[in-house]
Amino acid sequence: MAKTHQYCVAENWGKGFIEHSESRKIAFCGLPGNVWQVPAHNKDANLWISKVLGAVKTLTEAQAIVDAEINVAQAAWDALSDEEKSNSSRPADIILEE
Amino acid sequence: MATYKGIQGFAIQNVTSDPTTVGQVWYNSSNTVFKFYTGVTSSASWASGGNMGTARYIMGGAGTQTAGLAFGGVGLPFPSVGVVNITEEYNGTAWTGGGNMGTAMYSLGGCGLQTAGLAFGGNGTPDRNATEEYDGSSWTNGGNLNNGRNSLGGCGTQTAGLAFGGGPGEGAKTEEYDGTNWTNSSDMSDGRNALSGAGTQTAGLAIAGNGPRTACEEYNGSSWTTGGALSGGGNEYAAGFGTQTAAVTALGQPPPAGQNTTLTYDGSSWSTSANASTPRGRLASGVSSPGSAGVVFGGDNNNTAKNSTEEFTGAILATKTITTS
Repeated sequence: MAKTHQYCVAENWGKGFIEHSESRKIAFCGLPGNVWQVPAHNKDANLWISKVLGAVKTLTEAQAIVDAEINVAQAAWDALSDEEKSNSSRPADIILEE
Repeated sequence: MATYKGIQGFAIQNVTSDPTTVGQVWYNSSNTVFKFYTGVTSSASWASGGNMGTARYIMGGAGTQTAGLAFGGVGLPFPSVGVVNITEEYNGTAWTGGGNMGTAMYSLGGCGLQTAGLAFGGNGTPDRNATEEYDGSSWTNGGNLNNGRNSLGGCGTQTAGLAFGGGPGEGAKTEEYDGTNWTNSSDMSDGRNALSGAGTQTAGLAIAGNGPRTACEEYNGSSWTTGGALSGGGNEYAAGFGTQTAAVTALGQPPPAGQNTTLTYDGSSWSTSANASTPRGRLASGVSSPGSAGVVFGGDNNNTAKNSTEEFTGAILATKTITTS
């Protein structure tokens, strides 16, 4: 099956990281660990990854980064008191798609 | 063969001012040209803005895309970072520190401008009724809400503010601020918390809320009426801005990961707009922004506090002149 998404790691530096002209062409999804999901086989997405000096990751690599971040957040949440837990929900696993 | 009259139901009209019906062709006798209305020439979109100095969620927001204000909130993980009294000001590019609030607050309401902001309510035992006013550099105490509450909606200005809904439970209380005192007004029909707001004290909008809800209510300065229901599954702890007839609600929960959806309101119905880049809930907005140019900031995703900002630009519609070239 052809890939629908590709992944990279890039730190959002703020203004200019994603421009309006880019978001009109590319469906972005920011994920834990500075992982970004953008369309695969897409010239505009490839140009954006180059612009932000993104480190391209395979699905497996990106999933591992996201999992590590969520595991830390889950451990932190598990350590909260019951009263503190009532203020939030336990971080949920995120399953990335090809 | 299809004809224009067959499609539109009328012949090409001779008018002196341009109508705004998508797909309509007309003759403008003032300009002596044929024209048509194209509808969307530039679709709505989001772009990244400057990052806040302090990542946080359930804070207050005010101002606009080029003069925004963030105040209070909680840094995660809770409670190691805890409730903050930090204020930050946005200039459309970057955030800089402002004067600290008198009291650290979270799950509070906000409205007004960067140089005339208003913070009210907040979580506590009992829930807070305090109000603070910002003048662009420092906060001072304002009049207390009659009903202390958290996770409430707000809109309007520092001298004509509106507070509605909020916890504990699913509150329906509405109060109007005149710059000095809060006065009780009519209850909402559908009490709720974790809602967002838009508009003014005399033309306000209460958007969605806990559940998540899809309900929307419109305030006319004295009472609430039902507005159009949100499409999709609704939202809670989302960001709102704009006016009663041109509003935006963006992102929000259900928890824990949040969502990145955006809906726009035209005064009667909600439509799906462009997605933001980073799903999150419990964020804040420059609530006084117009629906065509908003800003959202902070929030959390999977209990990770965010410091990122996203700027919204609405769809641009245009009229075209028909030429032979």
